[in-house]
Amino acid sequence: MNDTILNVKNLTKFFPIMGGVIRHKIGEVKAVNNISFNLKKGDTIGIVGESGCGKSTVARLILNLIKPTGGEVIFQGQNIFSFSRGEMRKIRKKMQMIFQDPYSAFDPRFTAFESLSEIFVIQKMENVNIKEEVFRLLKIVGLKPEHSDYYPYELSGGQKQRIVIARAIALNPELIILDEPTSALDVSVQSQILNLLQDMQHKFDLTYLFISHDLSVINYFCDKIMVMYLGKIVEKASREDLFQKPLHPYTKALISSIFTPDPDKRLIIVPLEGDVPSPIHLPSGCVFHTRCKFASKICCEEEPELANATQGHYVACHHFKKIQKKQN
Amino acid sequence: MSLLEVNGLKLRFHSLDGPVEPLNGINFQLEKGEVLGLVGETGCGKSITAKSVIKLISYSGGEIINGSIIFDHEDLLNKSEKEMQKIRGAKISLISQDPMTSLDPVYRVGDQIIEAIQVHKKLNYKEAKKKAVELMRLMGIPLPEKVFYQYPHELSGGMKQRIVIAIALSCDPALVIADEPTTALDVTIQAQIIDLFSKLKEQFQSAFLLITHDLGVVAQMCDSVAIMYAGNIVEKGPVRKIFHSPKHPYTKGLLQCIPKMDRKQKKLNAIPGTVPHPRNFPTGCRFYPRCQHTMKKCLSQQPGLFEIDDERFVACFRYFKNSDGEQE
Repeated sequence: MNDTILNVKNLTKFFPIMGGVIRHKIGEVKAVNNISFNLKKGDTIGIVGESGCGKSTVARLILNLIKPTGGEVIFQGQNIFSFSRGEMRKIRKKMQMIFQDPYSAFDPRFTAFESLSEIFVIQKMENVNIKEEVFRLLKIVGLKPEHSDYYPYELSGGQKQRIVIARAIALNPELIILDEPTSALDVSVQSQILNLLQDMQHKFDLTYLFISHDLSVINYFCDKIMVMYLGKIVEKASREDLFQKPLHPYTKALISSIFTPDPDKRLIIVPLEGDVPSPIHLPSGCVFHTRCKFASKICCEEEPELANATQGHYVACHHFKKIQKKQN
Repeated sequence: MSLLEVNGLKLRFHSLDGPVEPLNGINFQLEKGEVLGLVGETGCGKSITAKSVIKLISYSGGEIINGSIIFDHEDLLNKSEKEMQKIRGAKISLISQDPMTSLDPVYRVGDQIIEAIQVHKKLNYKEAKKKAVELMRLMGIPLPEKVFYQYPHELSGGMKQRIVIAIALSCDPALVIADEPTTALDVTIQAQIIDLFSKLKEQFQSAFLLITHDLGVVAQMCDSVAIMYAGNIVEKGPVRKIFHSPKHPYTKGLLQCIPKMDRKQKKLNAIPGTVPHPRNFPTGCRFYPRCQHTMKKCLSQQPGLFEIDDERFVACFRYFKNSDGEQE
């Protein structure tokens, strides 16, 4: 257990919906619903799901940016929700986050140098030669010292994302949460950034939690993958298992909606029917049953548990054994 | 004679820092019923090319300074605004990227389809409504009679995009320009919309000009492709040829940037550098600062599109042959 860096237990977040004349609670958005997972040091675990499935809320909960409705996040043996603000600030050195949009990650009136040096001021690290440190960071992420004088509008999206990465690694963190780090970027720049992130991981022995909606990026980047649907983990497996033997019908549908860039492999698309239901009025039983072609009576009534299908492969589906049999 | 012929299209935008010319003589043809993909990264000029074809570019502050746009034997550049209004929506229609903003929030979606029909066709409300409902059914909208009376905010992103497509196809246009029609949608919804397009293609026999940055979508849908870089088409040809044996270094790089699903790669190939801004396009070949095969000639001269084999054009000096038939 020693190498477990992050342990998420029964994490739940319901956002209240206020309304009515006296602004009382009239409902809840069940954004994250009882999820658990472990993250080992040096691992890269991916969370994949469509918009509104709660993947970004998970990231914000782990960093204690929002308070959970229930559950625990244990980082290096300590429950972070028990920390005061001062203690949290200390622990945030060890856990960093990279957001989706590099365009809004900077103060437009700060130069890159000011944005980067701010970290050392906030963390009260007086014995650091800030200038040297900033130049060192820029070099690590493949930029030149002169970029430190640039304002955000003078930098391209890729360059900005490099500075975001520099800022995240500045304090030698253990864990970095990457929330769609490349989805605002062009493909040619995306591959530059993915390569850079991988180099950083080897160099600094980082642990990544990688959140994305893009399965081909997840497939390239992650060792273990969790698929989320409406606030729940529906399948959790190693990369090989998930892509070669997907068990949950939703995972299957996701994989079959990837367009390979090969005109000879045109898919006979079997699109998933309908839209994601509202997280305010979750379907009864299995949350996926409204769009699932395997759905039977039990799916509407009982919620499936995340069950162990094979070694390290977990799936929340009543019918996974049937699907498994078909595959073999 | 092709349905659409764009020859030597050049644009000028006036800005405070002087004029900018983001397009450098674009040439392409589109046959009846063909699906042409116009592919490129942010800022390469693909969207302004599309807007120029229906002469909407002046509303974005641009001016067509050179070239011709021959649609159905007539040059659209000689048409008055009044004549253009009769063509837009009836013969050429546009589907824009973001379905959230292309519908009017204060009108029922059904009435918005009817408006598009009645502008071009002499139908009374009852007949138009019948046609609108029928169109909505064709678009795979469940319960069209009910959805007809709903407002855009009551519909999901995928449903809104179906309404937008219904409006675009309401008058059986000969050409549909789709500008990133699935970029704002989730993967499973994207698969539904692409599936819908493939069906509509056969039913309506319209030609499609599909503008996208997603090579997977192109491989799935298009008959031919034109790859754009920094205001130029650098390679064009049938989709199979381009994807199986790309010739231009940029096309090659772009295809290699995409993470492959079928095998684990150690490292992604990346194109170094970023797309230049139209204000400081390099002289000579605009790709040379990022190219691995730069020759002396590339720094000073701009390569034109050159037919290297049947129907395949490349703008790169590596494939130019001198009069002896030898490669330079």
